[in-house]
Amino acid sequence: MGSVYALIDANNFYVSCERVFDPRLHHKPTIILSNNDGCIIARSEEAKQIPGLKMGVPLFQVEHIIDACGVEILSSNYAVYGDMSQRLMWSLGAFTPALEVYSIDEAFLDLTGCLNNHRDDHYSRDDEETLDDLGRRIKRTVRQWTGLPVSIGFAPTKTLAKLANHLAKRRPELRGVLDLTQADGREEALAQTGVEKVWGIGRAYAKLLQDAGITTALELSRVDRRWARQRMTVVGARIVEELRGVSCLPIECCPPPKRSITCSRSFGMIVESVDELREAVRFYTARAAVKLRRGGLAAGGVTVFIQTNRFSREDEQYANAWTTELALPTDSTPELLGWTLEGLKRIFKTGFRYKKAGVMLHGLVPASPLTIRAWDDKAFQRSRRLMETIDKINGKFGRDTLRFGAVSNDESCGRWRTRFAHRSPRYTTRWSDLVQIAN
Amino acid sequence: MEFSISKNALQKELGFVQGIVEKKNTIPVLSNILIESIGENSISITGTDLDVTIRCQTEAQVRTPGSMCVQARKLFDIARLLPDAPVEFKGEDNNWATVKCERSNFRIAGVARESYPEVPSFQSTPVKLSAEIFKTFIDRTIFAITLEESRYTLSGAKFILNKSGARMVTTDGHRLAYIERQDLGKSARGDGIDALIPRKTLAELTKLTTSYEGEISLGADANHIYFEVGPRHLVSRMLAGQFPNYEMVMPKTNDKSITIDCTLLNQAVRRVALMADDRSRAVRFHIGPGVLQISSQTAEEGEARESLQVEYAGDETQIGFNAQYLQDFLGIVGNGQVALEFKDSNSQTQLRPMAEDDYDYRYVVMPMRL
Repeated sequence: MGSVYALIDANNFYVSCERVFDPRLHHKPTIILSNNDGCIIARSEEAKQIPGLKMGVPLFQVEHIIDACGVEILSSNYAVYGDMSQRLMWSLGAFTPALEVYSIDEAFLDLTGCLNNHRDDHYSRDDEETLDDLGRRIKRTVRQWTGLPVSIGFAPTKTLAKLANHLAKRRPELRGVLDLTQADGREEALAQTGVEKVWGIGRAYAKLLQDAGITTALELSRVDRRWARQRMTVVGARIVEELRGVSCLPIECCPPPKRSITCSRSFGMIVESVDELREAVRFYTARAAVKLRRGGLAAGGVTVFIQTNRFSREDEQYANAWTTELALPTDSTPELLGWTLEGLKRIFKTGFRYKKAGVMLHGLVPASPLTIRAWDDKAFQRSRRLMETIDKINGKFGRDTLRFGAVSNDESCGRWRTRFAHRSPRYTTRWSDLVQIAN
Repeated sequence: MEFSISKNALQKELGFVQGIVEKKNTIPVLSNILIESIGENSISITGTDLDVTIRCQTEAQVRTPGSMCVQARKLFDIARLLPDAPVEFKGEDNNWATVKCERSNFRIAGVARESYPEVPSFQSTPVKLSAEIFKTFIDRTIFAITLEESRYTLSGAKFILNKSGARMVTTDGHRLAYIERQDLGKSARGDGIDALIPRKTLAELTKLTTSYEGEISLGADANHIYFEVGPRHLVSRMLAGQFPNYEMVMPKTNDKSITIDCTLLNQAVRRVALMADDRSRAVRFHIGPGVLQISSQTAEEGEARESLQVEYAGDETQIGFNAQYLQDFLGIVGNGQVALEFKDSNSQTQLRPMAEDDYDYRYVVMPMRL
């Protein structure tokens, strides 16, 4: 048997996470809002049926629909979603070690080895079990272990697995599992799929293909190889091969090294003073530095940016960024703070109403080994040891247990803090938010 | 203004000037060069970015004295493609200029002379130094200057010239290049100079001193340093600030050493670096009795190892280096033997060529913490 990939994707992930802890939401139309409760970013199946409740629509434009239809509104709760995502991935890891976490709610599994060499553990597959059976077993297991509903597509390539998953979600008779590993039935599935739905085909490629008269995935799978290579580069050529069942994109078990780390938010309210902006930039720098150290990296460059509300017609607009390359890469929060605050000083202008700020760390290199500094290395190493200690304490006792005096913590609400007026409790990451069962 | 100049002279002088004229200058007028007549038989061509100014003087037949400001890059592109024949320049109304060479005719836009900034006037250059020595100084140190703007005082070379000799030092905070020559013979005369020269200035001076035989003249005031390379003058703003205490970094207690062929070491490092992590470029030197083993590895791609025979009988030592730092130095030295002097894994290593010449050339590399 050739290669077998599965794409497993949680259905309406954000809403499903909320429903795990709040069963009241089952069968109710529910929407999740973006940062600052601005726009719709996730919907339950029931909400998808209500005309007007589209993805990306600002909340204020659909408030009348929400009232009329009794739609439940929730702010996004990334602490819960991140934790539930980890549980999902752990559950899937029980079926094969060859797992690629593709996004917060989906993962590719390479089941090739598992099918040929039965493992002795409880989760191995017996000879009689079809892929459809295996899919249903995975669904049951994930549901039992995490409470999340998932859809599964099986195929000989990742692109076809993605397509199978797409169809499994949209065709109720499949009950969330579709196996496209066999050539029979694959043509029909490809013919039913618009070319713009194929994984890797964005707007530009979709237009190129439609202009060339290629409208379905089946037609794309039949284009001339040289034409695909010339018009769509090697990326397009690989998509075509994958649609034909030739695997070109292996599982990436280790995520590729990060190129940059960004910490940025829209403010809960308009900010005009440099003091408040400074507070926000300090906070973002400290957060980005923690992510940097968690990834075992040091930054070789820093960017800080600020901008006004580009959607406001009344406000005068201003946006600017300051970037510097660092001669000596660093993972020390105080050093990074020095650079980002210097950047803010250079780009801040009074008289503007700021809506967003952010910090980006780039030029990332492994923090170990790092070349010893010719000067002041002792001070740098002392700072790094301090960072390591602070990170360990915060890892053990919770975020911001220890923090820099200049960086405020979550509880001290600056006006720039992101608004989450409808956020559910952070059930799995805060002792105070544990679910309570009433008498 | 109206003058005639040979195509080769025009192209050569424009080549020196256009390097400092930035293509996308924030001040548009700086994308122009200033051409001025000097008597009947020569002209000067000036380009500046306000930090560095180059003025070249060359022969030309001036029919009508005056000046003109024209686009540097466009004129250089034109000059390169012209036939080898006299080139006729004539100023037109509205600051345009016509350029004719045999059957080729161009009209190019310019700006008014008044809009061209006043460049620092050239001061006296009482110090003389052999161009060859100065170019050697630059060639052997410029690569260790930081390219990052965040360390302003490291973005140039410390240059000291006094009665006892001349010295140039560069560093990026991880490595340091040091060159000194004490016996300057008759080539160095005059008072001393102690200056921080920007990297860009050094790069331009390399061009000016290449294939120039003779002496250059130098001078400095509080903010600028002046160079006279034959008929060409360069004025540069000096870097302000304190260059770090480089003597503190020069190792004094390195008690172990190996001597190795520079070419062999360079080739080995280059090969082993192929398997080093793309971002850290880390290679490991394992120095043991009689052998230097260089290795690298990346979890995803694999590993490399190469052994070189060396005369060494000391304790086994492992030192990590950024391969690029080693390659930069070894590439400049080229051939012959180099000494690698070290103490332990965490102390600075010093490399220096063993060839007998009049230079004291040393290169200090900070190791990677393994």
